[in-house]
Amino acid sequence: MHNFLILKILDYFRPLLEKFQLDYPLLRHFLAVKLVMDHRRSSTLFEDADKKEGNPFFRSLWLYALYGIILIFFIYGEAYMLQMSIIFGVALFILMTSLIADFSPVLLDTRDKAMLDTKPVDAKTIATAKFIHIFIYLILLVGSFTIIPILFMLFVQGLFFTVLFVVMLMLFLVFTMALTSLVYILVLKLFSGTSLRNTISYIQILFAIGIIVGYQLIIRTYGYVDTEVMYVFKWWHAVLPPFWFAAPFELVMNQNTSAAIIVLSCISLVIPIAAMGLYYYYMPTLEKNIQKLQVYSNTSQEKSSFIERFWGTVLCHTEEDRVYFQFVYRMIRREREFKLKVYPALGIGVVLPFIFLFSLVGTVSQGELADSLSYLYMYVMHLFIGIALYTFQFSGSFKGAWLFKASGGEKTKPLYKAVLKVFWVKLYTPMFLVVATGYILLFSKMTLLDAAAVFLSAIVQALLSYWLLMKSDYPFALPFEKAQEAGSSVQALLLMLVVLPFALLHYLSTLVIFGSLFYVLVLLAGSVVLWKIAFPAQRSK
Amino acid sequence: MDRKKLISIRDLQMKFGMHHVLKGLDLDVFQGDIIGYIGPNGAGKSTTIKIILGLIEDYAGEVEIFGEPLRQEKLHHKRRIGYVPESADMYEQLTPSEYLSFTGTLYGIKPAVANEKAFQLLRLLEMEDVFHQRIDGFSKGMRQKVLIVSSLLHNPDIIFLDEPLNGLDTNSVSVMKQIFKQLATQGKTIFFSSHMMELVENVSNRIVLLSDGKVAADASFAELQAQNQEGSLEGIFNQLTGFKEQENIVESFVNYVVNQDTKRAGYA
Repeated sequence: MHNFLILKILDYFRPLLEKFQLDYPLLRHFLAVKLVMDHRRSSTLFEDADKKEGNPFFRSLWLYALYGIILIFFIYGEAYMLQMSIIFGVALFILMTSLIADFSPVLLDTRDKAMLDTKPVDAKTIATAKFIHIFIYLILLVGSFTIIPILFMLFVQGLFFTVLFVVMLMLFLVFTMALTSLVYILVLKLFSGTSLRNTISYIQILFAIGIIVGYQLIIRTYGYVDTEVMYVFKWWHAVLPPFWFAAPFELVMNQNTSAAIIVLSCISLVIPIAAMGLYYYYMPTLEKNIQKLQVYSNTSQEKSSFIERFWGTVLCHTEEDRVYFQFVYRMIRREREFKLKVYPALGIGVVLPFIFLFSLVGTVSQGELADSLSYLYMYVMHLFIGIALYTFQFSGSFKGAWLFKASGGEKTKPLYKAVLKVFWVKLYTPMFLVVATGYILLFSKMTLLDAAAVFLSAIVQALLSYWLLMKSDYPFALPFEKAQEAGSSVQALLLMLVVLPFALLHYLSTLVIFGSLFYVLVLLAGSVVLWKIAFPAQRSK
Repeated sequence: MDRKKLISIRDLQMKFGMHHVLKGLDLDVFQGDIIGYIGPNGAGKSTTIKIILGLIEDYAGEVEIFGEPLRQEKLHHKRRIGYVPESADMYEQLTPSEYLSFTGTLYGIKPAVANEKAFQLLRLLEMEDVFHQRIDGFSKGMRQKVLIVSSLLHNPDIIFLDEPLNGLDTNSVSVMKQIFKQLATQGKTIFFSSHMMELVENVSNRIVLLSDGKVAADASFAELQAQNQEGSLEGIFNQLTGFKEQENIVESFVNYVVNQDTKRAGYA
C-alpha cells in the first residue's frame, strides 16, 4: 500500500515538511491509507464488494481532458491579459465546482475524528495530510484539464511561457484550496449546530453563484473575444483572482510594466502564500470546530413544514404514497451531502437564465429585448434536472436500504414516485417561481402560457431522466462515491441536451396562432401519459 | 491501600443543548481497577468516556488524568490510553493488517512491528484467515476483535471500552473476560461500559452505576449484594434505577404487538 507513485514524489518534499515540524512517517502513512481507501469501492447492500478495484475518480478524468480542449482557442495571440484571465477563469470554475461538490465532504469529514483524536497524533500533521490528500486530486483534475492546452502552449508560446503557466497553476491551486478552507474555518467558528449545517449549504450556493458571476464579468470586460483587444485596468479587477494570475504573463511576455500589471502580479504571488500561511495557522481550529457538525443540539421534535404537509395531501392519494413522500422529503432536507451536491447546481440554474440576459444587454435595446423571444433562455435552468434527480440514488446512510428489500412488496416504483414529486415540489418549483417571475416582469411578450409550457416540460424531462438515469433499485441506496463514475456524467451531460428540443418546440409553437396553447396541451397530455407508463396504477388490495 | 490514582473526576457536568446529561459526577479510578460502568440507555456512560478521552471539550467540572488536569492534556497521555469505541467507526475498506499497522503508526510504533503484533493477537482470537481481507465484509464480532486489538497494540496503562464484547460469540466472550482479568493483575486498569450484567458481574472488581447523571452506586458486586435485597445484578440495577413497572410494561408491550387495534391495547 506504500507503492503509490505520488508518495514517492512526496518523499522528495520530506525535508521541507519536516521543517514545519510535521511527523513525516505519520503523514505518509495516513495518506497511503486514504489513497488505498479511495481505490477500494465500498460494497453496497445489494451487490458484493466489487472485485475490480480502481478509483472512479480516475476514470472520470478523461472527461476533464475533453473539457480542456476549449482552452486551446485562448492560447494563440499576444493579448495575454485577456487570454490568460479567461483560461484561469475557466479553471477556477471547474476547480471550485469540484471542490464544493466532491471535496467539501472530505474537508468536513467527521467520521475519523473519534479514531484519530484518541491517539497521540499531532493535529497539524493530520490536517496537512488531509490538505495534501485533496491537493493530489486537484492536481490530477487540473492536470487532465490542462494537459492538452499545455502541449499546445509548448508549440505556440514556447517553453518559458509553459513553465510560467505551470508555476502559476500551482500557485492558483494553493490559493483556491486555502481560500475554500478559510471560508469553512470562518463559518465553523461563527455558527454552531443546526444553523451551521444550513449555513454551509448557503455558503456553497454562494460560492457557486459567485464563480459564475465572476466568470461573466471577465467575459464582459472584453465584450466579445477578440485577441486584438487592449487590456484596460479597472479597480475591480483587483478582486477577481483570474486577473491576478494572468498579470505575470502580460508582465513577462509583453514587458508591460504599467503599475496595474505589476501590482496584480505581486498579488498573484503574495495572496496564495498568505492564504496558505493563514490556513496553516488556523488549521487546528478547523479540526477542532469540525466537531460542531456532529453535535445534534436540536432535541425538540422537528415539525413537518407546511409545504410538506400541503403537497403531501395534494399530490398523494393513498396513505402509503404520503408516507413515502414524507420519507424522501425529509431525507433530502437532512442529508448534508445531498445538499452539497445538488443545491449549488440548482443555485446556478436560477442565476444562469439572468446572466445570459445580461450578456445580451448592450447588443440590443431594452425595448427590443422585452419584445423578443429571448425568454426561451429560461430553459437553461432545466440543464440541472438530470443531475439533481440522479443524486437521489445516493445517501450517506445507503446501508439503511435493506429495509426496502426486507419488508417485501413492490417498493421501487412507489419510492421513485415520491422522489419525482419531492423533486418538483421542493427543488424545482421554488427555482421555477423565482426565474418565471423575473422573466415575466422582464419580457412583455412572455405569457403565463409560456411559463406553463416551461413548467410542464420540466415534468416531462424529469420523467425522461428518471428512465435514463436510475440504475439503483431504490433511492438513497448507493454510496456517494459511486456518483462520480464517468459513464454517468456522460449520461447527465446528454440529458442536458434534452433541453434543446423542448426550447426548439416552444419556439416553433410561437410561430402559429394558438401554438402556445396547443404546445401546453401536448405537454400536459405527454406528462400524464408518461406518468401512467412509468407508474402504472397498482391493483388495490 | 496505596494504589495509584489515575483519574479523578469532580462535579462533572455536561449539557447537549437543553439536555442535561451529566449532573455532577464524582469518580476516582485507581490502578488495577476493572470498572464495570453501568446505567440505563442515555444515562451518560459514553459521554463520560468521551470526555476523559478528550473527544468532548465543553464540559464543566474538574477532570484529572495521570495527576494532571485534562484541559491541558498533552499528547503523552493519549499514548497511555487505549479505546474501543461503541460505534464501530473504522476504516472499513482496509484489511486488519493495513488498519492495525496504521493504528500502530498513530501511536508511534513502526508499521512492521505493529503489523506483527497485530497478527499474533488476531491469530490468538482465531482471525488469522481474514488478516488480509477487507473489514467491510466482517461480522460485528470480527470487527469488534479488530477494534479491541487496535486498542491494545501500544500496551496502554488504562483501557476504555464501550460495550466491548458486542457481537462476540460465546467462546470469544469467555476468552476476553479472562484477558481483562489477567491484564488487571499485570497492573492495567480497565474501564468498560456494558449492558451485559452477567459480564459486569463476573469481570469487574468495581461496579459504578450511573443514574440520572450521577453516580448512584460505587462498590464491588459482593458489597452491592449485601446492601440490597435483590440477589442478581440485574435486580440491583432495576432497584437502584427506580425501575418498578416491569410487569405492566411487558404486558402492555405484548398487547400492542399482537393487537391490530392500538386503542384497545392501552397501558394496563
